[in-house]
Amino acid sequence: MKHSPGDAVAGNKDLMTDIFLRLPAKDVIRCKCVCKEWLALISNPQFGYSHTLRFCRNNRYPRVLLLRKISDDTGNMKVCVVPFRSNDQNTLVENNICEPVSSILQSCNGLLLCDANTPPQSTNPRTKNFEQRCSYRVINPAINCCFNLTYNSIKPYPHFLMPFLYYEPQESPYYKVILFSEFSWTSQRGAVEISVYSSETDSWTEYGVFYQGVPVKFGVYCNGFVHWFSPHKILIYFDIKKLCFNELRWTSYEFCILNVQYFGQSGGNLHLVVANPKRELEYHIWELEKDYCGWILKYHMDLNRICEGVNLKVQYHADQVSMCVVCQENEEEDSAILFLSDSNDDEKIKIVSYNLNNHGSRILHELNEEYSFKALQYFETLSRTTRFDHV
Amino acid sequence: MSGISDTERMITLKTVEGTLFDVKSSIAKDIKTVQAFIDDSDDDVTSPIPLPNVFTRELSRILDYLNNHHRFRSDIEKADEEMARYDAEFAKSMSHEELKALILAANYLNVKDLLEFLNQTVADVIQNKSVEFVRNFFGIENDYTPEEEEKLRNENEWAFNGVEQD
Repeated sequence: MKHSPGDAVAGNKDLMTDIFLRLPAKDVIRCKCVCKEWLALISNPQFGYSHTLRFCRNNRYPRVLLLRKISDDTGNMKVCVVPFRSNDQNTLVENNICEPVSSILQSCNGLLLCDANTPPQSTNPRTKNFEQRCSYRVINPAINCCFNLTYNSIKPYPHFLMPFLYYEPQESPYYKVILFSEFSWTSQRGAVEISVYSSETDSWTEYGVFYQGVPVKFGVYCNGFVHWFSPHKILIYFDIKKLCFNELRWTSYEFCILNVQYFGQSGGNLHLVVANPKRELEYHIWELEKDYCGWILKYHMDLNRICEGVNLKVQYHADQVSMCVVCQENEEEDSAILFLSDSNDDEKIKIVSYNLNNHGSRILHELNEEYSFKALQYFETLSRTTRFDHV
Repeated sequence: MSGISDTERMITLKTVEGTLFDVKSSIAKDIKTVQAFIDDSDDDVTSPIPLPNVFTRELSRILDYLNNHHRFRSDIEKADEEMARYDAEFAKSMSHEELKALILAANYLNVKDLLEFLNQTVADVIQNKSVEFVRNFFGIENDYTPEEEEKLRNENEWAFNGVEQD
């Protein structure tokens, strides 16, 4: 027999698995097209999970921003994908958000949680209950994988529902959706009811009412907790594993809650952006320490530099500057992503990346249509969203 | 240190072609397949250990790699830097065919560090390359019909953006 090392390596599942695990998701997906044997190997959910696990351990920093736009006629959403690196063309295409959804709610370690056209809440004339049939979708746009879940919410009071996706590959190959129901009825103010969907059992579990008084809509998911930064400098967070609320108070920090411009997460770090009340367009960026014992003043941002020379102006939404903080594997590339408009023309929006270390900036993208400035940070993985056994 | 290596036991390995290599037992420890053979023989190995799947060219390279890595590790100060330089040279010195042959040998002999290094080298070679390049590299026959391949490419269109030209 002819000694052919090529075939022997390519046909060896253990060797190829190890090689594929060393490649980014995009390259592995391309390898599906090489031959049928590789397609089967790469499509195996166990392999997808191993790949995500390895990737998330080494690098869970975002590669692209997803911007949402609701197109009016069909109710289906359009997505604009903006890569952070100028040489990075390897982005998802927008039609990969396959099934119709009305909004992407969250991006969590390679999976997206979307609302699938949930109708408004209605009152049942017979029982007087407030009812809503919520439809959500968990999508992995990198591998065109999608899972639908619904939740029938029937409560005696009007309520606002807000889901959060929990997907921590290091903890489990399964994901959860934590659904907070916030009662807007006066006598029930501050009450939050919690239901959890688990992809492991494909079922919802009710965990009852918690009295914490958090505005569920503004929660930020990070590392297994949903966080709220409330007035009086209190950080409240819900521990998804232990199913309990915790709170942390600080009195020593100089920032004023009224000046907080942004509260978000990137690459597993929580950030607060606080405006300097004494100097316009100057901001301080605080990062929560890993052990939650305090905030570190990490960066200064001075937008006077980029706005002056090029005739751009900062965009605000609800009195907060439209931006997000993006961490990268190499800390020197940590950036603020800003939405700036032409001084003369508010419609012309440029997405600008501002390097928080060297204060240099460059235009990432120019928007010619109207998109939401609440950008989602995303990186591609091979995780499947449908249930799989034998993990 | 040198005193120990002078008196260190030597083990003889025999390749497919019949070439004999004398290997220090401390090096043989990193070759798990050989070490398992030694363990099974209760440390009483007197005749050459036959390696029916390993060719002379590959074994000589593997031993070169292991000897050098042992040498680097004995000098903690410069170890990382020199090892990285040596590894880069080692990867560059191989043709694609040699690289794959070495992977098979390292896999058979179960030399963990080297195998990881070689697999990473392959990953670096095929990253951002076209499907055709990858097929060529591995000597793989395309077993898709044109329609099947077209469909798969369309479904994964984004993964083909920005791929290097062959």
